[in-house]
Formats: sequence, structure tokens, C-alpha cells
Amino acid sequence: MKNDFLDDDWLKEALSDEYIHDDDFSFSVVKKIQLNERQSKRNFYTILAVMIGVISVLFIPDLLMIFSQGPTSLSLLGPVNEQEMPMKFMGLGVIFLSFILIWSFEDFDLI
Amino acid sequence: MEAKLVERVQRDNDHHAFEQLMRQNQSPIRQFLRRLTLQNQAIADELAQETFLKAFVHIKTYRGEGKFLSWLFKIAYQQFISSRRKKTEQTNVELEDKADDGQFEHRLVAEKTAKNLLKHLNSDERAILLLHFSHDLRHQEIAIVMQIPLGTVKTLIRRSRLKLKSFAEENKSEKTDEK
Repeated sequence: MKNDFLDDDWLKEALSDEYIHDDDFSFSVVKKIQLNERQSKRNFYTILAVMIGVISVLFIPDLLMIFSQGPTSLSLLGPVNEQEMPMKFMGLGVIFLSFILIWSFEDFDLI
Repeated sequence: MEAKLVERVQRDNDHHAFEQLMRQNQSPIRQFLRRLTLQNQAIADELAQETFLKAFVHIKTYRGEGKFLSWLFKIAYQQFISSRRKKTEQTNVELEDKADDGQFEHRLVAEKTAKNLLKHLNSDERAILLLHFSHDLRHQEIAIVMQIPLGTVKTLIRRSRLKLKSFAEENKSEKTDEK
């Protein structure tokens, strides 16, 4: 065929490349997609865990106290009640359990 | 077949279906990017990976108008342009700068093949010739991929091939002079 850059057929043939056979390429992209999805889920779980943690620290000791001793036991302005300390530990326990629960969601793909 | 695979990815986020789509389309996308990056395979393949990652994330925006491959070409071209803007592609930028310099041709070993002469064109001209002649995209499809008017596509194709022709003739005459 004539070497002519104004000839469509010649140019098509001249610019064509060999087909690239590579299954590893698509496999590695899928791996990256899975990794990205996992990381974006992890961010969601972290935010969720932080929210649960903050709520637990702020409210669980007070709620437990209200349920165990009645609403009058709650002192909003006074000094820290000595009985509040075990409640704080219970709050921390709840935070710890929430982390375990959330990470188990991720590991077993429950969400 | 391809439409069903796309539908599965859009509906179920199906990784297996997307892997099949990639197997079908990876070769033209990688060839295109390799030519655009002047055969810098590492950068080209990195851009190809980013192209497919982006395609997966935004696949719901593909409405089935036009070929799926054309949609991928559009993403690939955008990836190439943005990577060039970030100047991560030093080799290519250097070569393009030199290509604009008239003296560069004298330093190049004259090679007559069309593929080697692509180095003398800028990235838009390279992309347009590759999309039209190497990947059989129509003018209208190229206009969508490169986001330029249809008239510009036709002008660029004509100008690019004339440029290639003149470079080929220059190289030929230089070789004759050397003898």
C-alpha cells in the first residue's frame, strides 16, 4: 500500500497497535476497587464509633444513674458524685463493646 | 452483552461484571494512553488504572448513549489532560516542548513510520488521530470524548495528518542530504 498520510486506509494500518493481553491488569484494578470500598467503609465505621463513644461518655452514666436511683440523683450543677465513677467505667465498657460490634460488622461484611 | 454487564455493575455494584468489561476494553484504552504518553508504559498503565477506577465510581452516569468504549476514552483523555496539568508527566512535557522547537527535528534520528512521527504532534493532535484512525471513532464521538466542537475535530484531523506528512517528507529529505 502506498505510504500516504492522506490515505485513510494506510493511516489506519500505520497507527494500529497490537492487542494487549493482560488479565493481571483487570485483576489488579478490581483489587484496588475492593480496597477503596473497604477504606471508605472504614471511615464510616470510625465516624459511627466516635459518635457512639461521645454519646456514651456524655449520657450513659447519667442515664444509668437515673434508672438506678431516680431522677433526683442527677446533679447537673453540683460536684461530681462519687457514685458516678463506676458509671463512667460502664460507659467506657459500652464504647469498647460498640467498637467490637462495629469492627465485626466490617469483618463479616454485615453491612 | 456489554450493555447487560454495564447494567449489572450499575445495579449491583458487581465487581465480576466490571472485571469482564475491563477485559473487553483495556487494550484500546491502554494503547491510546501509551501513544499519548509517548510510550511511557508505566505512566500510561497508571492512567489506565485510574481511568477504570473512575469509570467504576461514576458508572451510574453512563446512560448508554454512545459506545461504552467511547465513554471510557473520554475518561482516559481527561485523566491524561489532568495528569499533564499536574506536571507528573515530565518526560512527555519535555518532549512536547521540544517538538515545538524547530531544531528538535534535526537532532532526531529520522524515522519514517507514522507511529514514530506522532512524537512531533502535540497531545491534542495525537489523540485525535489515534481516536479516529487507530480506534475507529467517528467525528461526533471524538467531539464528545475531547469536548471540542465538531468543526474543530475535522480541522484538527486534517491539520494533524498534513503535519505528519510534512514531517515525514522533511525526514526523508534530511536522509537524502546526509547521503
